[in-house]
Amino acid sequence: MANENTALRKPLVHISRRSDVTKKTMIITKAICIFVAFLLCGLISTVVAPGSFLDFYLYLYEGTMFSRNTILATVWNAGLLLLIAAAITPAFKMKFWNIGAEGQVLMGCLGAAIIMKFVAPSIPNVLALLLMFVVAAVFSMLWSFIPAFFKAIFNTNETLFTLMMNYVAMGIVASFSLRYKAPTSTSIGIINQDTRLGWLPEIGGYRYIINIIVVIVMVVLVWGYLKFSKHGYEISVINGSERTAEYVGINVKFVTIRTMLVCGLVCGIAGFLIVAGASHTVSDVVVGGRGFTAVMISWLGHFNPLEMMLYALLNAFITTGSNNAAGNLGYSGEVAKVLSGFFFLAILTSEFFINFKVKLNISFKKKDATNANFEGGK
Amino acid sequence: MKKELTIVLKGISKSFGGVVANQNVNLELYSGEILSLLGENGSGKTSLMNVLAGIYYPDEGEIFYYGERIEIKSPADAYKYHVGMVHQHFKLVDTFTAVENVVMGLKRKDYKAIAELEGVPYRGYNLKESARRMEEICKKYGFKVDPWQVVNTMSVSEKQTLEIVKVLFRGVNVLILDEPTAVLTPQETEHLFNVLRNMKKAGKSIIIITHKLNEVLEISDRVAVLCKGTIAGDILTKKANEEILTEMMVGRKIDLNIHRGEIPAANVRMKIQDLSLTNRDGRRVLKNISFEVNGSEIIGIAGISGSGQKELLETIAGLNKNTEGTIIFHNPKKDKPVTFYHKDIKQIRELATQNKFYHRDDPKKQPIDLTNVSNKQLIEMVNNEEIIFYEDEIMDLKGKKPLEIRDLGIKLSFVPEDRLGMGLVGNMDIIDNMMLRSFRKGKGIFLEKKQPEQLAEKVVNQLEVKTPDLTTPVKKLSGGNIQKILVGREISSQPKVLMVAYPVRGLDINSSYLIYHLLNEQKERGAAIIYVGEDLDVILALCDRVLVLRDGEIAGILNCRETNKIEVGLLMTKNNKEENANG
Repeated sequence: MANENTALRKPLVHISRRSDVTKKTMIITKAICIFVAFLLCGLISTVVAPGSFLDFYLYLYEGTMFSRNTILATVWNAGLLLLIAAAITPAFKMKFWNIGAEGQVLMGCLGAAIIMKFVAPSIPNVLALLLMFVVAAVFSMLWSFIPAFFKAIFNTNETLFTLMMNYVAMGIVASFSLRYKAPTSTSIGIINQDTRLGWLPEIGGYRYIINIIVVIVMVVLVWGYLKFSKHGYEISVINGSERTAEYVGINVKFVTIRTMLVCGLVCGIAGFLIVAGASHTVSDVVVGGRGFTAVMISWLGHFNPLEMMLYALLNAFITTGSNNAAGNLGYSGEVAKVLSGFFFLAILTSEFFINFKVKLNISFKKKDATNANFEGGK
Repeated sequence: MKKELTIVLKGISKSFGGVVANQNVNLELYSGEILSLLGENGSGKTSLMNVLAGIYYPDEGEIFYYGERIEIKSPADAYKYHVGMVHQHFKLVDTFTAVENVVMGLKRKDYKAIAELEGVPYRGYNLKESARRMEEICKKYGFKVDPWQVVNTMSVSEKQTLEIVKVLFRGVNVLILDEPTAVLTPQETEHLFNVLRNMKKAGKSIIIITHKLNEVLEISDRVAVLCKGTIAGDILTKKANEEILTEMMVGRKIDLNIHRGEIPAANVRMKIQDLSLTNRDGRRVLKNISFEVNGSEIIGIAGISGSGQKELLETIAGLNKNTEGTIIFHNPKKDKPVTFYHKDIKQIRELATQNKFYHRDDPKKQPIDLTNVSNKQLIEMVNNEEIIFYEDEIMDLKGKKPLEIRDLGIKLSFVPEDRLGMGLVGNMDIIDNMMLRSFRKGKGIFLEKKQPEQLAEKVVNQLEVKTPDLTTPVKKLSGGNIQKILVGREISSQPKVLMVAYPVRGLDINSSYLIYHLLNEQKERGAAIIYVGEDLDVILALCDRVLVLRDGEIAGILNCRETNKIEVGLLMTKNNKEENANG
């Protein structure tokens, strides 16, 4: 027989699923993981710019919460992320992996910008805004309809399809802005800067207020749609199993297309808000990767609007804040991206410790094995 | 032969999350014995054996091999101590030959170790030598496997044999079989048992996991009964009988009789003619199926698994395309008033032109002419239940989708085999699952939850579903309770035709008998029931007729009161064997 030592050695790491996860464990584990990520950010900053540990947090604060305007900008950034995350959630809930929000929102931006530039100067402003909204929605819905249609009819892979459509949208928008760029610039520039035609009004002298209100209303609507409507019920059934859906007579293909049109509609609203209420221009980077970040926010937030809101705020806070820190401490803005990545990793890590118990079997002496218990969140 | 203690399990505990699979289990196994591990589904039989086979690592407890304390961390470790397990779900690569599957994962040193164990000289590390050794094993125990046959051309019983040979090839002293007879016909089961007896004579120890009492009594020397994760007792087979074993399994006495009511005169409810189905791969999975189902009758469908049972039910339920033939449904409407519940005014007009109605007060039941009656008057007549159906509706369901069938007003219920993958949605709570079929009811875009909630409450109370509350996701309930919810929903619509596929699979004895009872109730109510099952004893005791499917064709329809298991078993396989012999 094999010698006794090897025969009796227990596995080094014993991972088992937790029986009942309480809300308390969940929150504490997440808080600890996010706090650790927070500390790590400062440490990384210190490595890149020596001695900047405390300064980093100072600039983080300054960049996000210094004045009402910075606070509003941070909240709007978070709100936009949240809105796009809410837009793709219905599709995700029926396991249609739509990672094309970037392109869908961008097409909405393009639609709104076209009206803003060419039509808005010749019609009343209210009508212009309405038309911008409608065209943005139609453009976005077209962009979400195409992959849904091919999925329904030819069963194409929606992940690759929607991903590819992002780059097509970027190409179209890049060509558009090249064709209509301002004479002295390489981009299209702020549209109607002097007349402010097709711009959403500022309330009380502050920007973004209307945007933030629309975001909140839309997120509540999407949440209600999923939870209380017959459409939402059909989506949940398909999420459970497509066979079940067929068994009870739900037309999966039809629901796929319908749900993606809803996604497109909300993406169109996001595009409209970007152009009419924030950037007032269009370029291939105007969405700035939020369509992809939103995928993570929707997924990590378990499609729960409150959790999604928390992560969107966290992401906006870190991205804006560490960009400010990067500028002031003299390192590249790319570092800021790394730092926001840490937070997603932290949230992912917390998911693991919430669901699993990790037990290490470390024997310090040969015969006297001691068990060390490491439990996440305790 | 002197009996030695081979394996001893001491204080084994294993839990998954909050679910305790095994708790403080002690088990002893002697050489040259067949030990039955008996218990209901979910009693922890398989997880206990998985601990011994190295699939799971126990949370607590010790394992001894010939008195020596051992740790089994992986299946490879298990083979080191000559323990091998044949799993219920085959673990074979379909596109490989038999011998390739057998040698998979074995290294040169393993071959040397096997040769040493068997006391034969080491003769090389290649497929040809392996095939020779495989044939040797087959000859010794009476198996029939061709080493060079590709697995996907094998029948279920051949695959099972191959799994056993695969384990024996690795040189085991302890063989664990998990529900080996679940997919076998009575004849194949008998053959397997003969092989096991041969192995026992050769001094091997065998553990056979099962929940079938008659098999336990037939094959084993000793029975260990598991109940809720712990050993409820262990008894020599010759001292046991079905009653004692059931009591050990369930903890109390249970009436094991199914009370089958007599059937009234046949009244055809559904007539299926020349039904054929081509599946997605272009294979004909149903071939010219013709039979009739009567009201107040349970017709059983038997056959080895994959003979087209599932496809037959799904085709009738309207879930398959590419069908040929007719499915004629006699909707019993005679002498009943028409309602707007399932018919609209246009449909009623259409039926009127076919002379389908007579007046409520007309004793002669003369068909009435409705062509000159205005829509408004007609609506009034229907609402006052003044016009009565003259005869039953006869409709062809072929090619109709489930929703269209429902819109025709046909109450056809279907309890599918795959409960959580088809019949229910696991993540949804009981209320939401109750409205799966009815959520479209009511106007507007929002869901109406009041009726489903009442139905959920009714089902939970009447069928004694054990659940913390109505908002618990159904996947968190036990198999029996899940099935009760599904069956409860399907019979709540008072179906005219009820189709059930493997309704008691994975259920404990108590729940199984509750389901049989419910089916009998529906039969007495007048429903036509199609029951697909795997346990022939149950089919013969519960059903009135049994239809045997073989390879998508009807092999025969027998009267359950006049036939027996052997006859049905023969029909299940007969021609297959002849064809194989010819081909």
